[in-house]
Amino acid sequence: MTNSLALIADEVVETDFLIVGGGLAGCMAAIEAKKKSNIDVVIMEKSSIEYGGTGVGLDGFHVEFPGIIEHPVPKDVDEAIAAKSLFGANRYKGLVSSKSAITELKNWIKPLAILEDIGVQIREDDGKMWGAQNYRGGTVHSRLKKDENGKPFEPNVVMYRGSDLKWKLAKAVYEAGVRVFNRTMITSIITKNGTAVGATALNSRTGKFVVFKSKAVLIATGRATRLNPYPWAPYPNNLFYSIGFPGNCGGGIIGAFRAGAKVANMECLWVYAVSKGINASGGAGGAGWHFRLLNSKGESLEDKYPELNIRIAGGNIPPVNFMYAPGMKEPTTEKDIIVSKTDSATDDDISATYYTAATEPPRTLKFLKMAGGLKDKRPAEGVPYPAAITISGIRRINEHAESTIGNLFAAGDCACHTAGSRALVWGYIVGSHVAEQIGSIQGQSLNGEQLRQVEQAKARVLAPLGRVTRNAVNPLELEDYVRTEIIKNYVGIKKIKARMERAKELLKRVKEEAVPLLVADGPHELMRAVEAQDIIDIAELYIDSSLLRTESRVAPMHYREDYPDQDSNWDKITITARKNEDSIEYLRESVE
Amino acid sequence: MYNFKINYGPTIDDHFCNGCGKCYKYCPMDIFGWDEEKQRPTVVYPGECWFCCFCEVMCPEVAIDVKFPLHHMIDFGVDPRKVTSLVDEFTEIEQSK
Repeated sequence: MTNSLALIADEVVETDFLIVGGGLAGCMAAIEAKKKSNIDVVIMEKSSIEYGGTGVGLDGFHVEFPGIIEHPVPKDVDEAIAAKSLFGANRYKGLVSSKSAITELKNWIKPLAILEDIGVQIREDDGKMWGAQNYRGGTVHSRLKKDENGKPFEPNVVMYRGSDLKWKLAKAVYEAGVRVFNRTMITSIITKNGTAVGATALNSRTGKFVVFKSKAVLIATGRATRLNPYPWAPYPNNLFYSIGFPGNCGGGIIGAFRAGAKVANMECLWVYAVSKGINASGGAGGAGWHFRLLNSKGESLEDKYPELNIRIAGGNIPPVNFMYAPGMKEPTTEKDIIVSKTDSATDDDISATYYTAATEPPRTLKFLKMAGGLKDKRPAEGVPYPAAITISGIRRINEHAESTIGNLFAAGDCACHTAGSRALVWGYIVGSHVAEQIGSIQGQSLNGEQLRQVEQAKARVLAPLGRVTRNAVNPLELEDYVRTEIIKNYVGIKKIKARMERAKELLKRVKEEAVPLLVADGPHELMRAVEAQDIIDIAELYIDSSLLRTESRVAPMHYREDYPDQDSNWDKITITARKNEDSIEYLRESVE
Repeated sequence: MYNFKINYGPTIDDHFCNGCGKCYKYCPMDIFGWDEEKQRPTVVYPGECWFCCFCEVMCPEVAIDVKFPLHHMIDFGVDPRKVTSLVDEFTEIEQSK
């Protein structure tokens, strides 16, 4: 059997624990697994683990618990306490599990301690951790928010100096003896009797088709960033100019889905407030976290619509709520021009912005410099940008983040609501669990059925390479059609049944008529061709789930123009999807 | 005749580049290629640049300048007439010595 596998694959790698994606979750899982036991760990990363992933610099530990530093999290934390966490079930109106928030709270300090161990500056010069109020109202930490009695809210996040966080994580991964395969992207997951036994991958430099055999697999490939275009950039930059790492196309989510794992909440769109032109996080770009968003009359939206403060309204990352004020039917963002006013900013606002910008990719600081500095620059327009799907992805069925496929785990943004610093927490949880359990997992041989899976994946992946056709389809052009035309123009933020059904038709035609004509000239372009197919499948799940959810919830996360109100029949209900032989089975399941 | 060549993304100044290969090794989007003969990096897929500018920061010789599309500059309030590159600034400093 091994012989025939050797014939199909260009390279076969055997390991105990395969981690797909070397971002925050993947690196933390690897470090913890190696620390706990001497198992063999492999990371497969599409770019390089030093700079790959969205969290290249991360300056805040956003587990979000009031009094996170002052009084330690109680050991017997229950759902009522967890609900106090803004990231808990409360904020997303029952779309996410509060059990997950409890597990996060119980574990939050451990990955932070590991970060400190590997040299990240967690404490300030006085040796104390700095707690900040986050998401209290349209701002982060530059302006103190107070409750109705005039008492400042308790800090609920830990801020630290995280600009070199990813570099240090990568260094620790190498020092721990983890084998790293950079420039290697996942193309499928191999299963045997309902459990994961490995994965196939493509090296985008050498073109090698690699097969990994593994006892446990962690998917940590991030969110499907490449679902929506950045519409204010020229083609093809509109496909790559994103907030998060644009290599993330949902490959891990769709790989798990194709292998039979359940995915959930695929209709939920993450809309983000950015400064137009810079497309950086709201804090760094200045689109309303540290500066007030003003309408054309010069009114501050934060002051005009206090009821949309995230503490009251819940919802997306601020200040998205204010951009969509007074409501989704006639949002300010569509009828007016919103600017983030920086010229009257206080020194605290400015230093807070530079503090945030320092942990962004360097382009943010470069842009601020080119624009003449925050104080003197012309005001930039604040715009809502659909950055990815969110709180969606691989459905986890237990507190070890296992998916519906045995020994297949999911952490980070690809796993329903575990983004940012919570990626570190869930990476830690999975790494720790796998290290403990690996002894009881039998290594599996890849027999006829698994070889068939590998052959199928290889045939699909390599098909565009050197394909000869008079009507060649460029992967980027196809991706642009799917994202700009189908997703942005036919689905968009305000979803309507008839338009989404048209989108489904177009998507079907694209799959049948254009995908078979994809042509790639070399391994790099082959990577883009594989990504385009992943994006098409993610788009299908996004549209189907959006059609099924006949209500609006946490708008603009899911807003149906034909069902504009929240419907109690959908309370605590999630839409899951699973692939059967030739069809997709969608279910309404309860959120636990 | 208009030139529709992509005019944004990283540019490498051959005079300063020492061929260390860091940009080629670490670029998150893998847009650089490698010229085996000259032992120097090349920019192969500028259209896929997401302007993280890590290459610019990690280059030990300040030989890389990442150029932005006009869209982004005007939108964010950057005056395109005033944009200078680090490479230009560095060259000026070198020449003034």
